[in-house]
Amino acid sequence: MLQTILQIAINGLLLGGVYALVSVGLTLIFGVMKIINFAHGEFIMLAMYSTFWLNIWMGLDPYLAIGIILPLFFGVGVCFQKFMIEPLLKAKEISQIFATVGLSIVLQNMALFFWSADYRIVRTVYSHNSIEVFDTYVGVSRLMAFAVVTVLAGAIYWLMKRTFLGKAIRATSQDSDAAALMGINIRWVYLMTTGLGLACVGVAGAVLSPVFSIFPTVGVQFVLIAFVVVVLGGMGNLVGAFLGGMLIGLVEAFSGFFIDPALKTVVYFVVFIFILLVKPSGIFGTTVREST
Amino acid sequence: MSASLVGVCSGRVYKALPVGFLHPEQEDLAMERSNRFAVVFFTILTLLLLPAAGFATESFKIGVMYPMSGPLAYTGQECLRGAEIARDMINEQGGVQGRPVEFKIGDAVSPKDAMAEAERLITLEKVPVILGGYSSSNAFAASDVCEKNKRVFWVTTAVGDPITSRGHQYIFQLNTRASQWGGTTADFLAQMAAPKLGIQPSDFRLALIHEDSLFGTIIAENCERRAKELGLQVVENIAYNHKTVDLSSEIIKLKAAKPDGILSIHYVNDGDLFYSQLKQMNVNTKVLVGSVYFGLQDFQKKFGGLVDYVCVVDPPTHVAAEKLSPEAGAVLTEFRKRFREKYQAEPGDPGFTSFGGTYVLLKYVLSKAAALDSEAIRDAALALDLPDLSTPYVFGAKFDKPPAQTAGANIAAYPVIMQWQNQVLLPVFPQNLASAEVVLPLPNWKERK
Repeated sequence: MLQTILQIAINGLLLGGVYALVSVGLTLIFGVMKIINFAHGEFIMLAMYSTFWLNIWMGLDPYLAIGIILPLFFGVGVCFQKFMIEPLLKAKEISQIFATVGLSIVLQNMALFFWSADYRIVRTVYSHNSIEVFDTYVGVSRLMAFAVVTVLAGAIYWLMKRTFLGKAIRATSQDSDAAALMGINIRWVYLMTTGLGLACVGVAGAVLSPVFSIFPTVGVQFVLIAFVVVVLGGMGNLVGAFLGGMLIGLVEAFSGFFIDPALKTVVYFVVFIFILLVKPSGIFGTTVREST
Repeated sequence: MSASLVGVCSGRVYKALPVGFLHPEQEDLAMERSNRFAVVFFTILTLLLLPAAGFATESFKIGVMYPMSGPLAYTGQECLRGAEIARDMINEQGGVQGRPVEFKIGDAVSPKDAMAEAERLITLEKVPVILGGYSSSNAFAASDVCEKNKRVFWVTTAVGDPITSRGHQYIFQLNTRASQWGGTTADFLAQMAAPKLGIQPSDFRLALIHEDSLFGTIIAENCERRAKELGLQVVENIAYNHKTVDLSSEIIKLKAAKPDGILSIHYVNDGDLFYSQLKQMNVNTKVLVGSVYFGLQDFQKKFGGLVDYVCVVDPPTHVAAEKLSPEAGAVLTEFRKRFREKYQAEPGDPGFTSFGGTYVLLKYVLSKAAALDSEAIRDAALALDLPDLSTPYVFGAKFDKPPAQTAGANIAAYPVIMQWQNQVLLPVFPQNLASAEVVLPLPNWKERK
């Protein structure tokens, strides 16, 4: 039984790593600009496809492809902010929602049109392998995802705490008007934030490409859980997104075994609702007074 | 054009003088009127003749409904490919009652979409018959719309029993039904696998894991029922949603149950996830039977030699053409050849069932119907009695008739069990269709490359 519990805990943490990976980019964008990006899953899908094509054309391993994907998706993020989000910043929330939902549908169907519904696979020698530790098994590709998200979250955390850009982003997320009064170029902050956010999404897609098959609607599987993790951990909070992902992963793994696999989603949503009832801003969220 | 005709058309009665005898200005006017008349005359003549010319080659439109987008798009796309090859083969033979067949496609992503698309195909495209139906939940939803509108719904692929368990008059389900998949798997495990492994059926521990829509649930329920009738022990029955990104909890439960055999009913991406995580967590069993994904070329392309000795319950997709009647065998061989050439892959269950179902509809029902309207098509379908091994679907076609509750179910259909051997899928059960003997036990993961 102890060995089973250990296996469940390992699975939960590795799953949490996947959830944290898909949430890091979203929490940056959601936390700073309060824009609900419903096309988040589709950007993950595009990143996975990009990794796949780099693997086919150049034989690049997905982890090496991060060197190309990261700057590429930073650029995509800047364009996304400039041409899509910026015009909508002052629009009603419903318009913002519809715009990103529309973008999500367009991206899904463009992927279907150009690349068909065929399943793509990034084949690596380690895709299905696992490491045996005291009769428990750790999947190599998921372990790599966990390692990458830890490094990524750490890097973003360092950037937020130790650089001017990070301070500017934090100030803007707390109060954009006050930040503007302090001389921060809000427009530039938004561009950098979205660029960073989608760069993280790009890394997530690259790292997940050996784990999951790639098809036009693969992103749909991640978007809801990403929102749950972001809200649970506190919007804009990196540590919150990381730990929130771990929490959801562990709850799902344990409830799936000890209660019923069919109810595991129900259980983590119940936990989610309970935490929000006790602390509406999320586990690590801070309550910010509305500016008058 | 003579001057006399010009005169008549202009409304004035000119003296019947040929052109050349008029004043030059009158001659120009006459020529202009002549040209205009010629244009109008020939235009009217062409418009009158055109429908008559088109009437002989007017295409016959039928509705085709598969999931072309969304999570099942991959299998929906393969279904459409199979149907298109059947259409092309029939059109090369002269079409249906002299008319080329044309598809009007409906995208049935979900049950709600399936209903809307069926409604659109019937009311806007005015098709007398809709073929298709992948994913039993989608087909079930669309069947109500078709029944309400008295349009034949020719379900080529979906296997859910409820599709033809309501006494509907216009719904025809070609494929073997889910309850048979479950029953055949239990028969295979009790009659072939357990003896091969040297295990008494009463000692055989069977674990079931299945996606939770109509497809997976019915197969698992019927497998469990039949397994218990045969004396097997069912130690687990686990349901999950096919859109999940993780099956580790489910697989740990399977491992804890220490099964001798596992039946996994999944679609494609969940089947991929299941097999990957089964390997990663080193879950071993003596016999593994899967569905859908385990019968696709993509399974072999992704896992290579790791697919060997895995079994799949499926329609008879890989039965050797030599086992069929010469005509049916030739058609099946031609289908496989065309699919291979066009798509560089072997057709799996979706392509095979869609081809077989479409071919039977076009060749044996529409070509023989008294008229190409829904009532006549329905009568022709009910009159169908094609014996076993006489169709490219392998099994025959004969439908249960009203007023039976299972009216429209194909009582001639049955599934088979196939096994990967040297990365080739071969039928192993029932024995009359087997191309090889089953090889068991499934080696442990550490012994496999």
